[in-house]
Amino acid sequence: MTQTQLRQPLTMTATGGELRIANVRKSYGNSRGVESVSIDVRPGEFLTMLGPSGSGKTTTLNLVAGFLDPDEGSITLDGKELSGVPPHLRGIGMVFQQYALFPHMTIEENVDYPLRVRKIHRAERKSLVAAALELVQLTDYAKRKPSELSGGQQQRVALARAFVFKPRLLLMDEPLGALDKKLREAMQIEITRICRELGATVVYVTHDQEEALAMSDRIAIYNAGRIEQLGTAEDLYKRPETLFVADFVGESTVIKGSYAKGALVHHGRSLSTQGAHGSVAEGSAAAVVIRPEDLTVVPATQTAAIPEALNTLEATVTKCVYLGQSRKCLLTTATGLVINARIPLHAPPELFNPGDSATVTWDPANSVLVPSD
Amino acid sequence: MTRNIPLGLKIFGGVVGMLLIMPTLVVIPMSFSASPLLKFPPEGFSLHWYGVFFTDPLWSSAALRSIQIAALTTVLSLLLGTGTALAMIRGRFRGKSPIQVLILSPIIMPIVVLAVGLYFVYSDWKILGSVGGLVLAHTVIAYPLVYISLSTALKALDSKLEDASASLGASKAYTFRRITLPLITPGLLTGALFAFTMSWDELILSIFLTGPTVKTLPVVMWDQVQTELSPTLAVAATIVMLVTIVLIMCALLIGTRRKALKP
Repeated sequence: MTQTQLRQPLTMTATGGELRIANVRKSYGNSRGVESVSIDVRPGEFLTMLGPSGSGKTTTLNLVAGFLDPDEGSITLDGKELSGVPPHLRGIGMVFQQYALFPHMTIEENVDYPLRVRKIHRAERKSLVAAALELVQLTDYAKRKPSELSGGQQQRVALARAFVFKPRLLLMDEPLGALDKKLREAMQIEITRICRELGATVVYVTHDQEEALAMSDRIAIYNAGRIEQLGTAEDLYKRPETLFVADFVGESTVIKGSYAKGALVHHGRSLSTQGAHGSVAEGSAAAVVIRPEDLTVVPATQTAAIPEALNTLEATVTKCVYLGQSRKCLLTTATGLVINARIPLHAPPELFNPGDSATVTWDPANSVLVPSD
Repeated sequence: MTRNIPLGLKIFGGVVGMLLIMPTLVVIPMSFSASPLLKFPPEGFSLHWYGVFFTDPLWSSAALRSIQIAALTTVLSLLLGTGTALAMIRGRFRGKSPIQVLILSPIIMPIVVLAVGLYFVYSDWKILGSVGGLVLAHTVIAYPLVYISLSTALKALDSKLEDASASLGASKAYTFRRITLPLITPGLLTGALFAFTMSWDELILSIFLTGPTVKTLPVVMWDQVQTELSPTLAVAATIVMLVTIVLIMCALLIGTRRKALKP
């Protein structure tokens, strides 16, 4: 299969494959397994699996790579079933968290390895390796050993080695986890650029949501072995479908209660959900999620100016942190609810001190209604 | 790291060190003796007894026999030790701890017990005094050393490298040849050197299991010490010691090089 695939003209671009994961289950006895995971990854798409550690995202990746076999379900690449095919015959590129470069080989030999395995002609190998090293900007390091390179450089070598044989699918398992924050941000841009140039389909695993938001076309949010929601960054932020997603992606205030007649009843207080995204069954436990930037905080003395249509809650400031563009304020209501709000720098000063009384208000159309437990 | 050690402690340490090493080194001047009698301090200086050692068939054939047996023991121990270490480190099965104890038991058990047991088994099998029998016996005590050295090397080897190799298209056999084997070679060499050394100066099993035609160097030395005390014995001791020191030095050098190679 890969033999013919490699007889393509000498460019670094490969067309991305279409990966379909359907109802895959893998249990381990303890946790870390997956239950009924289904994802369709479109050709050329950059899809990220995001979730807390142990939520099953790496397990899914290992199932696709072939290091694990699913108990149930099917995994196909371009229509061909992968289950039962050993990893070395799947033709899938993989980048590991700890780089996994071969320490006894030079950078060049590392990148050449998948080509040698495939018995490609020497001259063709040479030009493919050179092109791959150029794409990751490490041409000058070809003759060095991995231990002589920095973490970021080693990860670029691992990337070059994973795509040099033009896999239709590239898997990355927290590739930036071992790097410091600054380098990580630079590498995010670098990896996105390289993947766009290659045109390969990418499945990327991370627990860092900023990374996921910055790099991906779509994101699958994992929780306890299941996918909670699959969508674009904006879908997940603006239109979360579950409480977990609302809580995990970005900051938010979560008000729990029961849903009745277009409103959420929270400790006897009816909060309108008119125009809110999402729907729940009448009389069921529900929660309203509001992003910090959608909340307005006014001093308790200025409540007269609040329009009738907006929801209001009285609260006490517990903490205010200066963030540069705004202040992050945490407030607590009499019922113990914690509210996470942003206050503009020019807001009245009587709002920033712990103990100050304030009224929090929001437009119900800017809130999201999700089922609660 | 150097610390300030009190002078008295330094002297004490030096004396203990000397006491440990002097009885071993005493054979070197004795081997250059000019007198036909083995005694300390030696009289005069000559290389005569070195000549005797290398020309007298009793000594030279025993030395060659020892080399042969040590080499065969090394090969057999490497094969068994590598297989066992791979199974124990990479394999997934229950009961690893008891198996580990079983593998290491020959170096914990008193060798003389093993020798008596093997003596009766070998006489029943009629392989007493054979090269093969001795190689097998030496392998029993040398193979745990190869196992220890190799399992350490395999534990230090990141299994993600083997996964990476598979994801790049390499079969299990290709991965073992190109990735695993080169990376555990220092461990393999260290194990081989220890196995060779173990067989090279082994006396207890050899006394029990050698016969009149197949004798190793340590056994001939043991015979000689009871019959005629010629300085050739000191020559043999010196040569046994030199070979051992050189091999252990090699093993230590490989060990330090391995550490230096780590990123």
